[in-house]
Amino acid sequence: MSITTSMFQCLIGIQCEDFVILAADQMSTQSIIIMKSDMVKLYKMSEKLVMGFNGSVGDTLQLSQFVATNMVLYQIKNEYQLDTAALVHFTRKTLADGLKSGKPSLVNMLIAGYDDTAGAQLYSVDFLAACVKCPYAAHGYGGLFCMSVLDYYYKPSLTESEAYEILKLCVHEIHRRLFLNLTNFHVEIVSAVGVRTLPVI
Amino acid sequence: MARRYDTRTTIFSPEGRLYQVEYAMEAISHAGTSLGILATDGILLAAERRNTNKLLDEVFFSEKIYKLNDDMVCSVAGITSDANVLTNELRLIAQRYLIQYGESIPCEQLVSWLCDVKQAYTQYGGKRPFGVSILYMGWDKHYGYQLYQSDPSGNYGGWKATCIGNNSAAAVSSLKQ
Amino acid sequence: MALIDLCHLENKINLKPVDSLASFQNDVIGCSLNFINSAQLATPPFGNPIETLAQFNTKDDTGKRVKIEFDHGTTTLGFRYQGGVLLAVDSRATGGQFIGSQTMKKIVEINDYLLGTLAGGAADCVYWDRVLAKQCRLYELRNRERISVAAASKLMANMVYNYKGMGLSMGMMIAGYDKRGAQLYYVDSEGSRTAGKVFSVGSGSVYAYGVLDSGYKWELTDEEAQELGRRAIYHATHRDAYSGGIVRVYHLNDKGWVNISNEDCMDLHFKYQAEKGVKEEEF
Repeated sequence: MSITTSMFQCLIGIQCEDFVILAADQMSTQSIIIMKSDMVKLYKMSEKLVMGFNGSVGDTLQLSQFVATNMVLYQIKNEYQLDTAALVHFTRKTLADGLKSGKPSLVNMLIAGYDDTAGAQLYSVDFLAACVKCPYAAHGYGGLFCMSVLDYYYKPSLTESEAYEILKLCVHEIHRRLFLNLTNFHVEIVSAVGVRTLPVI
Repeated sequence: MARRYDTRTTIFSPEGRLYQVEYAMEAISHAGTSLGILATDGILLAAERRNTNKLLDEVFFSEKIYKLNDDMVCSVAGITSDANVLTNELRLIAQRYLIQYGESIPCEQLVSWLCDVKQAYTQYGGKRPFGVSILYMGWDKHYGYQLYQSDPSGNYGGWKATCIGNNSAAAVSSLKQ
Repeated sequence: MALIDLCHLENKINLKPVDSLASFQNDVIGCSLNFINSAQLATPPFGNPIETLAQFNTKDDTGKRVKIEFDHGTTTLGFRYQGGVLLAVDSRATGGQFIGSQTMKKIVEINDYLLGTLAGGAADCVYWDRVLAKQCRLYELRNRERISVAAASKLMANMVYNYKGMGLSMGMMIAGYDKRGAQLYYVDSEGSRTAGKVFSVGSGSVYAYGVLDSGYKWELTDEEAQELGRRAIYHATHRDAYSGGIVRVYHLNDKGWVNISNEDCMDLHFKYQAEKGVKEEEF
């Protein structure tokens, strides 16, 4: 399976002053067939950290679990948690090592975290292990439509409900202009109080 | 196949002691003294420099305090050659963590990793323990300034003030006051 | 030796005598590792098996077309409803255009409460289902309770993921009943593993989905569910050249699995046509 399958999925993230919001489509497909339209692609990794995965199914599953278990292991060993930046670095390193070892994970992801010191952060990591910290990002063909919407409407001082409305705009644009059938978008928000799930768009 | 190395493990004496480890500690108690004091705004390490021979070129005189990474420094007491191996290992551990997580290794983790190595040498066959005690000082974002000490058995602990090497017991008791 | 182990030198330099590198015995051991550990399958002796194996499908050195086609065509389906899980499958095994068997058992009875369906490479599925059956039995002996469906499917997904990209081809459903009730999982050789209500796998699945989705609801009675499953497979065998033979229906609930029916799809065809009032000569 090539990376094109991940282009048929969509992942959107917006980081504002005191929260990050992530949205992911919920399609699970097998060649031309929709196996499921309520799959969850956003994984809660810790109290204040959510990762969104796009890519070939097996790889996303294995990578997300690898990262999650390592994070728990670290917590148990040291009694404190990895912060967002360190986890992103770890994930990127895992991906880069896999790339060189000849067993690459074809996975694109968005990582949203909230640290007490560094505040809300959003990172975008792609399957070539390129990692960028950015205020908003999107993956997949759906992401192309979102970028201009986000360019236009984004400002750092958005409130949570404003950001949710912008996500709605993005999703509606995807529904209108993208030939793919991405019916449901699962939304999670990360802030100082932790991770919350918002209504499906 | 003939065993190429002596594979006996370090074994307990009938009294339940590990002589090899105790001998190693003994070796350290003859070495140059190192001392550390933890304060709220920093830490201090001091090490005795024993120049045994006047003919020894000062330029090549080995340091007793080693920088491990941006946030940590250690001072050693014991067999210098063993110490060089261990400080090298410490630096490697610190860099491995840096490459994995993109940030400096938290102090206790570094100490703990090295102590795993030290402990291995008290158990695996055909090896002798490292004849080195180490004082570590460092800073991390989790616990701020910290002072640790580790000994040849692989034991370590955090201290407010401590001393290793020659006459260390006397130094510790005067630190207590 | 100990120092070598400690420094992991054996990973960096080859310490073994030269002749051990390519001895006949090593080949035998390498290719029969799965006798000792069933999850250790010998992999093709070249890199990138998917593409390299594909070359066998084109031409050999003499320009003659060599054809190795694996068994692929199938229709299997499974769904959860208020009365448990229902599985229905066809029984045709094909290799390219050739029908190898019309009586394959594509539902594997892992234990009294666990069933697996096969689709894709028949050999792959049969092998890994047997390995899974073994693992499940071991789990039962060790823990004095049956393995959960979630755990069984996870075992499968993890085993198969290790061989991702090496040419395994399988899409299977694992259905069972455990403490959490009736469960249905889809697992495939890409490594995916998802729980769900309605799944269909195989070349005929597009046809099966059509019937299944239009007739499915949670409140189905047992009889309705069985008929829906049978109907969906029948329609798939009708339209899909690679599906056919016997339509097998299994039902699973808190009392374990029951084989409801095994009917020839041709008999079903006549029956359904007769029900429609189509005259015999127009079948």
